[in-house]
Amino acid sequence: MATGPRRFLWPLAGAALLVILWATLAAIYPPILVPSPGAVLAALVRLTLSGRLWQAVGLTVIRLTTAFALGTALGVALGLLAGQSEALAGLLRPGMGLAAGAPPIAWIALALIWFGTGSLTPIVVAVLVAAPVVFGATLQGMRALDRDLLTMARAFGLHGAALVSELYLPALAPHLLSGLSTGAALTVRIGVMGEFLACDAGVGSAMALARTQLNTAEVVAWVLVALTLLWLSEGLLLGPLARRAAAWRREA
Amino acid sequence: MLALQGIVKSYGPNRVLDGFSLQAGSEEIVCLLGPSGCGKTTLLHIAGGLVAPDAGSVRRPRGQPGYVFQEPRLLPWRTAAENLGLGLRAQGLPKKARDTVVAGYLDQLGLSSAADLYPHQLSGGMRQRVALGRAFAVQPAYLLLDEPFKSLDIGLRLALVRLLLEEWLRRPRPTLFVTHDTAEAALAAHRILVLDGRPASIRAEITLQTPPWERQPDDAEVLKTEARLYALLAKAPPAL
Repeated sequence: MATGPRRFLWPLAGAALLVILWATLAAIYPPILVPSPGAVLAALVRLTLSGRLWQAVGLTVIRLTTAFALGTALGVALGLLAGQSEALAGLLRPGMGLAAGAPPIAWIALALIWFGTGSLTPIVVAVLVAAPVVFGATLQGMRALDRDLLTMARAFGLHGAALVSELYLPALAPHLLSGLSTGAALTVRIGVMGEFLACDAGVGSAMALARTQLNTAEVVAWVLVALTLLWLSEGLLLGPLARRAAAWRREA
Repeated sequence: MLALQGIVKSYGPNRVLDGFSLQAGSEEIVCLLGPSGCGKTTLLHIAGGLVAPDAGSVRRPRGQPGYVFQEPRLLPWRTAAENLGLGLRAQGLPKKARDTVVAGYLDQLGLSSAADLYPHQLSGGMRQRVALGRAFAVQPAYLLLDEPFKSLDIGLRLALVRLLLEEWLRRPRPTLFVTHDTAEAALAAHRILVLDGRPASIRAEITLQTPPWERQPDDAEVLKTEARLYALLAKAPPAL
């Protein structure tokens, strides 16, 4: 793996290429179809100065964190349960497959019928889509658990909270973290989509509003906001967690 | 005293133990030798309560066992010191008291400088010493050793047998010691049982005269015992 500044060189070049492509398309097509990078930046500044950005982001962050916390708790709990026996895993798998496999838009349609417009719809749908991913990762971790270590732990009388913190958590961490990372990405994507269709406030609904006003620059600005939320969840939460969990591996 | 009486155990259609009895006195190290798969590990697991027998009774001293497995079985994400103190953590001993005991055993096992290293940074011998320390640290009422020095070279193996005997002398207790190594058995045991499979049965029993801690690898009794064990094992049909 490349180290130091070179690690960022190629991704940066890739991002620069995207911006160039974008600017070229913007020069060819009218701004209502493809707004220029400058126009999007201006829209972002306007949204920030008017306070609309923070209002929408605040609400969306609350919804998404709630959904992520619930989805993770549900996925981990059911994954641990399924790890206990093949029978339990078999019982749980169809439900998880249904939640993960049905098109998210179908869940949104149903949630709109059940809960109407409001915060509940994007939260429920994001949980339904993210929990199975966390479930799968947890179950995979349980399957990979070293049985010999488990026997050792039992032989020394380790149980309860000490067993979880000494054995289960560190052993599951690598699987769990990759599951959480995918789960977070799904939560942001599906949550914002839910807001777009079911809410009258938040990043997704602001995007919907900008669309009806044919304010394409603002639509793209909101896309960048959603992307930033995802980056922040990786950078502030999952990245540091992963580094902490893998600290012992790096000792040479 | 640790006593197994009339133990029956099957795994599926395989009857591993069929009315097997065995005891180790309160100040006795009993070595079990025999072909792979003759049920020695199962015996240890039953003795320690990790596996329930289908029939038969087990009498154990009051207190917990000290286990040493074939592999070190250390937690890869914990340091040598943390691994050594794992059993104490399970007992709920406060950190400070734990640290004192752990430091004592690290010192005794020559691991003080490795206290903060992770298992992957240790040599095979050091890892197995940590595993020994983990078993000693819980002040076990009896010791169950399942080929603990199997993957180590002979010099290291004999050094670890010596450490084991030193600890045992400090606090004698019933000890079951499974091994494939005739030298290990001839050096460490009060009594040696040669087993056959399956189901397991006792083929020969050898009681040694001198106390283990007085023996040297080249003592006449040790060499004679080794030769006898070797002959017994060479003739044993393999358990398939």
